[in-house]
Amino acid sequence: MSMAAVETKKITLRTADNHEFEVEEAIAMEFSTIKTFFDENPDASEDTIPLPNVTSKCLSAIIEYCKSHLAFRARETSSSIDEQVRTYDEEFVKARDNESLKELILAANYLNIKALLDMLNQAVADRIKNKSVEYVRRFFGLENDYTPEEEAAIRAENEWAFEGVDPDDD
Amino acid sequence: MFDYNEVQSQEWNIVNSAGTMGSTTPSPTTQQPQKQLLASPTNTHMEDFSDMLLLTLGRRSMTVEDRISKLPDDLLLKIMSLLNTKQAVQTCVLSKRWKPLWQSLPNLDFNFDTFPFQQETDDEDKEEVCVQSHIYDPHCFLVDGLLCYAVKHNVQQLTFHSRSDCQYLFPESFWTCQSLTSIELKGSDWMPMKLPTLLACPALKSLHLSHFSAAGPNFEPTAFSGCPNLETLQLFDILAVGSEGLCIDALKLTSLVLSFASLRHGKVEIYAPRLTTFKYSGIPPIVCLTDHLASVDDVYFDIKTLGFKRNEEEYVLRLINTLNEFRHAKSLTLSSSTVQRFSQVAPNLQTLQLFDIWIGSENLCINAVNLRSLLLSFVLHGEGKVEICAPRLTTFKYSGIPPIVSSKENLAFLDDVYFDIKAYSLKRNEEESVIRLINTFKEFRQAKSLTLSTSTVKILAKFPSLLDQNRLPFANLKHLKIKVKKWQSKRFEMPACIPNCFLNNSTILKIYMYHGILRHGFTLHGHVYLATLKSNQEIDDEDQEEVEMKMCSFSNFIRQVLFRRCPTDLVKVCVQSHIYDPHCFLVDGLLCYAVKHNVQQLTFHSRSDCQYLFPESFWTCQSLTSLELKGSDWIPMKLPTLLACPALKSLHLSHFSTAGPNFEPKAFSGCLNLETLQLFDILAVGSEGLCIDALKLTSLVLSFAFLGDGKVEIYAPRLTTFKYSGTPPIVCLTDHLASVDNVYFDIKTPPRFRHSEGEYVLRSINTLSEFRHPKSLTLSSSTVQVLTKFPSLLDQNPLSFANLKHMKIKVKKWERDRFEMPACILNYFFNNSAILRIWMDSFEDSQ
Repeated sequence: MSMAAVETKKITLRTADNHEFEVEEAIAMEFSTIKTFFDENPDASEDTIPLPNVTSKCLSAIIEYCKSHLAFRARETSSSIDEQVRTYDEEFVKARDNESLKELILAANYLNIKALLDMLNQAVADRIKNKSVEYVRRFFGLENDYTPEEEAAIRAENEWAFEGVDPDDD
Repeated sequence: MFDYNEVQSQEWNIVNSAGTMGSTTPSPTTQQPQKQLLASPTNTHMEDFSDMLLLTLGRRSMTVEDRISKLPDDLLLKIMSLLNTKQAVQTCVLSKRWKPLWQSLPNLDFNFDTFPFQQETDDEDKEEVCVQSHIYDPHCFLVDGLLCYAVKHNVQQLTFHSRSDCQYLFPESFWTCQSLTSIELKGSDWMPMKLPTLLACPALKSLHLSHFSAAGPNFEPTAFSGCPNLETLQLFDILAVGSEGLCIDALKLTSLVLSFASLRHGKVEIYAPRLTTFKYSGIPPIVCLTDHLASVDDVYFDIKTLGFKRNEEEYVLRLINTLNEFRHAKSLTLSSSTVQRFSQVAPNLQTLQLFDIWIGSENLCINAVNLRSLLLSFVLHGEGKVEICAPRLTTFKYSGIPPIVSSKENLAFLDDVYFDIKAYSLKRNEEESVIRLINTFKEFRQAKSLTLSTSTVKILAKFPSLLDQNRLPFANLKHLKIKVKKWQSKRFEMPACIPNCFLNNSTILKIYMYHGILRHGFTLHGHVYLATLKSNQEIDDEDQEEVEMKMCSFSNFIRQVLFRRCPTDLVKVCVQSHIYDPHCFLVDGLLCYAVKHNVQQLTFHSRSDCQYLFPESFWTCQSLTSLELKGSDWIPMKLPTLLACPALKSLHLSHFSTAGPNFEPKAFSGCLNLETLQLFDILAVGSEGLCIDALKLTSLVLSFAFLGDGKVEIYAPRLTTFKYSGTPPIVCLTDHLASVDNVYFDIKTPPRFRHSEGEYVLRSINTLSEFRHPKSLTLSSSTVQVLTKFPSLLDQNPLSFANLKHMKIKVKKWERDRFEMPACILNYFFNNSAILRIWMDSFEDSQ
């Protein structure tokens, strides 16, 4: 469907909790999953695309992110722009708690948004860097299925990986 | 998983904003103040706080957590790759699912500086590790590293037996190593080693290679002709020498042993005027000696008879022809399979050894006038006799089942006789065997010295009556030796009857009992011994000790990770060593490991003063897409003579020096896909200069510490960015380079150039003029200073920067207040361009 250059095409996305979002085509094309879908099915642009693995909260955050980054890219590259991008990314991540970070990662992975995914992975890595084992377990929502003896045995067997680190750390 | 030196700002933010967190007062008992920040009590509070936060913000709903509580493995691996490798390995304790996860990490980061390690208060013992090359050898990278280490330390004698199925990589300089005098290499049955295409070790005297295969179509028949001092050459179990055959050309060669598993129609040409010993085993070859080889004394043949049934005659003919080449031999040893087809014996023969003979009902005749030494070893003995006509025989050795040996002559010169009678399968005919043996003894009654193995003694002792009946007339016997195997030594008792039967007429008989030594040839384990080096400094020097301990832990960590991880391909490997690196061979091994596991991105910063050796296949590695290597100030790395990695897109080399006289100016032209090339701090490019030929190159950064008179030629049609730093080069671009958009120059002004400053400036101008198409030009302040020294030159050589839109001057922060843009420069660049924006940029922020 060809339109005048001024009007931008909108794509409709439906999230897992049945909210519908209208986004500009440019933003939707940031989602490689969707881009690939459209490349293969050019006629489907009118349809609503279901995203059963993404919540509305996630999607709105992702849309915000992509909008901002598109805007950044439209401007000329300079060190000040890079600085602003960095600041934006930091702010984007800072306020989010661990659960929502994980949700965003899963969504970004599902939608295949490489830049966002890399940025989020780095943020998670920074959050768990040098944290205690318990903290990391809770961060990823893991059940500790080791008995204390088993855990002690693993630590002993892999002493070369744990040595030089405070033994009080648990 | 703590890093004591890092304060976790994230955590503190949460704590501060909440304001109501539990106490963080340092507990007075802990010694290190920083430790208290993250001590256990705080940690427990953090747990509660996290929970509280989650509940308060209402994010923690059961359904959400169930659904997303497990991120898929590949995402987890991605996140783990962003962590320090040590912490990534520690994730094995998180839960059972995480236990094996780290072993599939595609990225490895071994950085000594960031390696989390805090010295423990207890004194640890330094570890010593012994590694044996075994069938199961997950440490094979260690062996690679060890080979590099050995070469670097000018090893003279190297023995290496590989029994594993992994491929070992030799360092590039191995086959031309100056120091090696003796090499013994053995491949395994699963993984034969590849013969080198050229072997040229100048000092090499002895070379044993076994379980090798010819290196395919590239194998040079003269591969073994490059070592002028070679005295001993042994090639065992060579698989598949092709139709070009083998050419061995060695002036000083005295001993040659060849053993082929399969030799097609290839010839073996030997030019070795000093050859004295020749041993051959395998399928009959066509051996031609380009000389008479009159000096060859000892010849040994063991011809295998597999698979040649159709061509037996040709086979025998070949054998005879080959034997004929050696007709001057004094000593000939033939295996039984050879003997069965060859019954002539050379007239000069002094030594004859026949191994593993199967004798059926026919007789074996040995007729050798000059024979001095005879060794017979029978595996199976039928009814046939062995007839010996060898009047000058002095030594006779016999091993096997009791034969019937008769000698036609009186063996007047006989000195040593050795009998090792095997007792198996004689049960039915024991008595007859003993009679045979006694009869054989009689033939050798002139012997002055008789050696018997324990099994011989045992057999004889079974029938003491026979010994009584058949007095052994050993008239000249002076020595009787019993060879006892070491493990038997405590249990063996000499039966009384034995010495009696020999004690005949002899007045003095010395009886010796001594161990027999088992000789097995070449089945030793490859034994590799690694020890940590001890510093020579005082033990009081705590810093050094701490560094040593950390280095031990770090090295051990590298070893363990490489050992325990899944042998999957690697994507990215980062290594940074330390000034003090006694384990640098580990890094060598790590580089080999990375190459073998098809690493794609490799970063390696050497900060130590030891030399690292890259594996032979490194500079042609198929999998590398990005390579970053940095030498240290003490030991710059050597530039490769040829770089030809087909997949390489990005190359950063820094602190390199050209590889001396062999440096190819075209060294950087072999990578077709190269997009980014950065050469930093290249020391001393010589007068041949440098030639960079790269079709897809878009970004080029050069930085020379010293450039002689050499030119830098660049052919890179897609170049968009060019940065140059250093003394003014002569750069010529073999193309217009119309596409170059961004050009950056930072010309240094070393004091040495005062005498030819004018030329210097001229060179700079000429180089600048090569780049007259860019849209953006950045000059450092020193460049500007250089150019302004000779304003007249600027006038004489106007530049026409037609497309120039931006010009930036990079001013160092401390210069900012003092720097004034000279007017002549402005004018110089303003030429034709309509709009020109000039920026004064300091390194920190723009103005």
